Amino acid sequence: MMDEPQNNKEHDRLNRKIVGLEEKISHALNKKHHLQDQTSTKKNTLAMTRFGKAIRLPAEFSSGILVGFALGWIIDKIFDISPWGIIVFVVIGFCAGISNLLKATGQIKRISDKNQKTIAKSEEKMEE
Amino acid sequence: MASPLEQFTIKPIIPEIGFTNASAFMLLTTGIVFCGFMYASRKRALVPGRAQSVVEMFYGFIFRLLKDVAGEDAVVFFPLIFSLFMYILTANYLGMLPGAFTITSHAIVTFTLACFIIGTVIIYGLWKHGAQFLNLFVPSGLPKILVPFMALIELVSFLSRPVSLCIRLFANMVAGHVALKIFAGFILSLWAAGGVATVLAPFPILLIIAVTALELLVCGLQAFVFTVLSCIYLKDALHPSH
Repeated sequence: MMDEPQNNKEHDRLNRKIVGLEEKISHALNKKHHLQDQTSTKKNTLAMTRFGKAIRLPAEFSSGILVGFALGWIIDKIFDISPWGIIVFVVIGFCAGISNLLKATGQIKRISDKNQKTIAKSEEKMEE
Repeated sequence: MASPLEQFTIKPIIPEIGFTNASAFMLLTTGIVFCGFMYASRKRALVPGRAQSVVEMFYGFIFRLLKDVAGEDAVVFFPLIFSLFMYILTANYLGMLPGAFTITSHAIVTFTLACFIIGTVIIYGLWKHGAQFLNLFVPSGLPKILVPFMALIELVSFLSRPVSLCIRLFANMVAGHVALKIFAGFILSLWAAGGVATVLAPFPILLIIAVTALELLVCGLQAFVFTVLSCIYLKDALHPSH
């Protein structure tokens, strides 16, 4: 009989300890997530700004022209209209390359983001 | 002196089944990634040891990247993206070892990897969104008369994605390895020239050290860029509105 109250006390003490520890853990986790978010975005932007862009952009542009050339060549072969397919599609490929560049540097994204924001706003209004 | 491009020649090891040094290094890359992960995660400890925390770091890094770039619902593609990143990273660094064959220096290898991603984007996009996926080719807010022309440009732009992924990785790897070989060749040329030039012969080693350091950076960065762009393209498959 003497053991039970003691046991209860012990139990309460342990429970309180566990609750305290849980709070500490969640606090630490929140802090960690916060830090991680900050560092990850920082790292990504750093990698994509200077060196990342330097090795990304040339390929974006040249691939557009290459694909245009390849498409034009195939169309020439199929329809036998050489050299018009290549002439037209290299120009289109050039446009596609420029559009790739604008997308990669975020110039087009900014515009479409604005559009998306206005769309989202109008949708919200519709819901209201 | 051998040509700087000689290091990229494919030599058959077992000609009967077409097994070449490229296939051998592909197998080796897969083996290193697989065995490394099996070894590191063998204990499945709650508090990770050294090897396990390295592996968990890679895992967490790519997981966060995928979630940040492509959104929460892109997590279904995590196995694909993670395997791709580990494969390219390991292949690039394996190629930096002296005498090793760099599989990512072959356009067909990187093109296959890129087609894998674009194929996933097209199939998943069409399956999930159907004809709505084609909205990708029609930028919003255009005058109607421009739509066919812009759609054509966007189509070429879309087709150029795998090509740009392919060119970027393979060109960077080839350029770096060729530069290393050429600088190494300077030592021999200077040595053979005689006179004052012989004294200068050891100096290209400094250049080689610098280029090697740059290459080590480029290897990691290329794998990272390939992964980031794959994530960006996957985002199109998930949310095709322009």
